[in-house]
Amino acid sequence: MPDVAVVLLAGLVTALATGLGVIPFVFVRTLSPKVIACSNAIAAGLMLGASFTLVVEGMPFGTWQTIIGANIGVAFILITQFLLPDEGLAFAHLKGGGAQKALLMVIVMTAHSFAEGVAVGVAFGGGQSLAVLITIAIAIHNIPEGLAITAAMRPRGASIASSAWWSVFSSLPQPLMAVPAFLFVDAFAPVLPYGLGFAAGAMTYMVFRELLPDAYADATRPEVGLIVSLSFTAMVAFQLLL
Amino acid sequence: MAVPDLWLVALSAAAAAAVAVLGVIPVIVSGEVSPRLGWANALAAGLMLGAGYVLLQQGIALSPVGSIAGAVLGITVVFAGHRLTDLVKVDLSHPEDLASATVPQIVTREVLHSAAEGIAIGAGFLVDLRLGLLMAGTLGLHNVAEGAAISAALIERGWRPTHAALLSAGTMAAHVPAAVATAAWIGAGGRPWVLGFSAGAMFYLILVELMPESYRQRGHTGIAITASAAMSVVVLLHAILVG
Repeated sequence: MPDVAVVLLAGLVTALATGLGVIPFVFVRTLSPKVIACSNAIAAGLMLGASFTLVVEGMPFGTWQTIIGANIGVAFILITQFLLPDEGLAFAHLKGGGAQKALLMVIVMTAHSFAEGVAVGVAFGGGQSLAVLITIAIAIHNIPEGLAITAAMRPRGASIASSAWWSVFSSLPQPLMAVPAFLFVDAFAPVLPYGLGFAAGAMTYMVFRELLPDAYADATRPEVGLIVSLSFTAMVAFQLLL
Repeated sequence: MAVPDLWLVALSAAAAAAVAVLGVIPVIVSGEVSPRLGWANALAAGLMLGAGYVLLQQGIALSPVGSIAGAVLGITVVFAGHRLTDLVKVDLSHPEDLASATVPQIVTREVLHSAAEGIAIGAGFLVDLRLGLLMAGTLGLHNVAEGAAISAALIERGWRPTHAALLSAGTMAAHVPAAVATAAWIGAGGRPWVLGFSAGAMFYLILVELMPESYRQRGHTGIAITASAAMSVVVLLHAILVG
């Protein structure tokens, strides 16, 4: 059985891996409206794929609980969006509407990491070899999530360093939640489907409310269709294969 | 994997096509493609995304490489079809597109669209009877909105509502041969490919046709809530019906 330090270290490794998602954007020099739209489309596809996988992970723990969690997730983002001001908001050197969208994106991805942290902690109860496998899987799985965050933040004016930091930040709940979930598996397991559903609902709503409309604004429908469906398929395949 | 009853596949696909005639009703009542159909489009988009995911998941369980390659092929084929025929420019929720599109253009667009969806119905039946029925029901709902858009375009060109409704359903009839051919001819080795193909084609069609049309008809927030809720429903239905 792994000890707490191993669980914490594993969680930190998975969180740091999220920062690797910025790498493709290091090579993109100019952010034209078309590049921005395509970035939003990539983020939309990746997040949709990730949210489906979260639902599938939650189902074995409770179908209804996962669906209830998903609807709470949608409601949470609706309320958060309502409470966040459009004007005068500053986040990651961004201002106004761009800051609101980038902040929402970070909130959604951070909330989803809480659920994943619990999932990691609960799964770590299975022993050392399973723990190593899960750590590698979650770390790799976090890279496209960092890509999704960067794809949403970078077009709105956030720097590479800032995008990397907020990507890593969004995954910090993984080590923080993995440890207590590992120590108190019995207490956390019933909450897991709600958490996974919550994350999936919040991410899905974010895709349909913000990312897709922004993508359609400056790219043609076939371009958006092609990019979102390919990135969605890639994310689903990637996560199911892992 | 189930061996589907081809009569049931044909009947389900035909029923999904036939309900397109209902789309003429809101057009007769309001005299145009009602913006309320945006809800139906968003609902159908969410349901179809959920159903497409289920197909892809089933395909990956059989053969990851085959189903992923099939999905990429499905996306590419529909994308290339749109590009080659220039049909992607026909957005039926857009008044200017409605005015400029010719009847053969509208019919060709719908027949290609329906054939891709018919493959998805057949693929659903290849997995499980209940998944096949779920696919047919989901696409039937989507066809009501699609039927409304086609009927509006035809009525504006002087067609009688009954004829417009019948042609709407007629274009959807491509569901039947596509579904039956998929269910009848795809052997065990081809199943992951066809499951991936139909999922990929559906994802692309949803993103190119349904979502932009929904946003234009009803704005962003309501459409986001409707599509998210619809995806929950289909995942829940799949969990309850298929397990």
